[in-house]
Amino acid sequence: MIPFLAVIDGLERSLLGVDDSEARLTALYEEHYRSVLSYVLLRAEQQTAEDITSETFLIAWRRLERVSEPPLPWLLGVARNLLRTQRRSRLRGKSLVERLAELAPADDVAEQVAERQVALDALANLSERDAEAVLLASWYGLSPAEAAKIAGCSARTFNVRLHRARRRLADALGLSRLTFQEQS
Amino acid sequence: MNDLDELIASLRPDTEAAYLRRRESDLARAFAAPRRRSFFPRLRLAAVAAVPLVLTGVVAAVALAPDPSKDRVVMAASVQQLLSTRTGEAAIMVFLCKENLPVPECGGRTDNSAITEQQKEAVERALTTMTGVKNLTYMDKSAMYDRFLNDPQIGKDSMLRQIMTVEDMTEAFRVTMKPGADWQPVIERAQGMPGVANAVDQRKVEAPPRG
Repeated sequence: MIPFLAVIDGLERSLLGVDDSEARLTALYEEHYRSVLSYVLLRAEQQTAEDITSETFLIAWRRLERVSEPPLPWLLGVARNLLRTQRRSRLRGKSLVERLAELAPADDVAEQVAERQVALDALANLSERDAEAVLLASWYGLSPAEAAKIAGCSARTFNVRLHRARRRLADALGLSRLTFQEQS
Repeated sequence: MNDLDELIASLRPDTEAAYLRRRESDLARAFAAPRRRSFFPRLRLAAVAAVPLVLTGVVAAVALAPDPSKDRVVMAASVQQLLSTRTGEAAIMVFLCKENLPVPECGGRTDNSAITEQQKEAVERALTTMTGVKNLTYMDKSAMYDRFLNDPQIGKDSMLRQIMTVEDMTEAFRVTMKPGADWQPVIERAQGMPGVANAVDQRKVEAPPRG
């Protein structure tokens, strides 16, 4: 028989007791903060994006046992849901590519700037969803199934978007098909 | 640069400055926040009947830690039900299903879901029309949280005050009865309705052993 208070005490002890939760969250933060923020930045201004990212890790802390492996898709999914609830502060009427252009790291090498502009122009010709598919796959190395969850579609649909987008991009950029690595 | 991936990767915004600026405060903020107890996935449910808490009518899913050598006993479910069942009051508490409440009445561990609005209305309708029922009050999560905070069984310094949040609460109906009425049919009726986790005669709730 487990007396009432023993249960409570056990609970409190287990919560107070030494555990590695803080180390775990710190590791998650160090490894994935940049990825989460870069994703949120596509949909929110800097300050809001940082706050949403902070909130994402707070939620990860509160539900540490639920953070799945690998954690990045889970974190991006939480961030996406938070973005949805922040309709007010979201960027209105700005396309993904316009936002990307704003965010592009400042660079003083003219050649890189020019190339980036070519890529942006090519992305601008894609649908928003196709462009997002390319970014999700390229920036985070997510599998189609993982990326599909974040994009809110099936893995199959995601694959279609990704292949179509990459093909068009490759065409637009005049890249040879040989350097265009198919993702399975 | 003629590689598509490299080109796309070069569009990724710079987040290093934000990372350095926010790291300390973000982590401090998280660590200061209470954590949810969501031990379910890793724990197996122990025999609930072994626990006298059942007498309190609590849907106490007490779980044992996976590593018995640590001898940790942790509550898996619904600590607030266990605690907010104040003893001795002349009322029936009808606890409603919420998500992740792993009791068979709510669909068990894998298929559990919260009570729906229709089910809530059905329960309210069914109970208010029964003979002997004097009054029925719906208590939402925040009302249940107040009840929890004011529960004399919870010490002022109890860690539970810090870890429990409004979201951990279940909703409930508090039913009071007319003098001399038979309580049992009301309890049984409530207990049998979809979306109800448990119905408890609060007069029969025994005080937990202390010390």
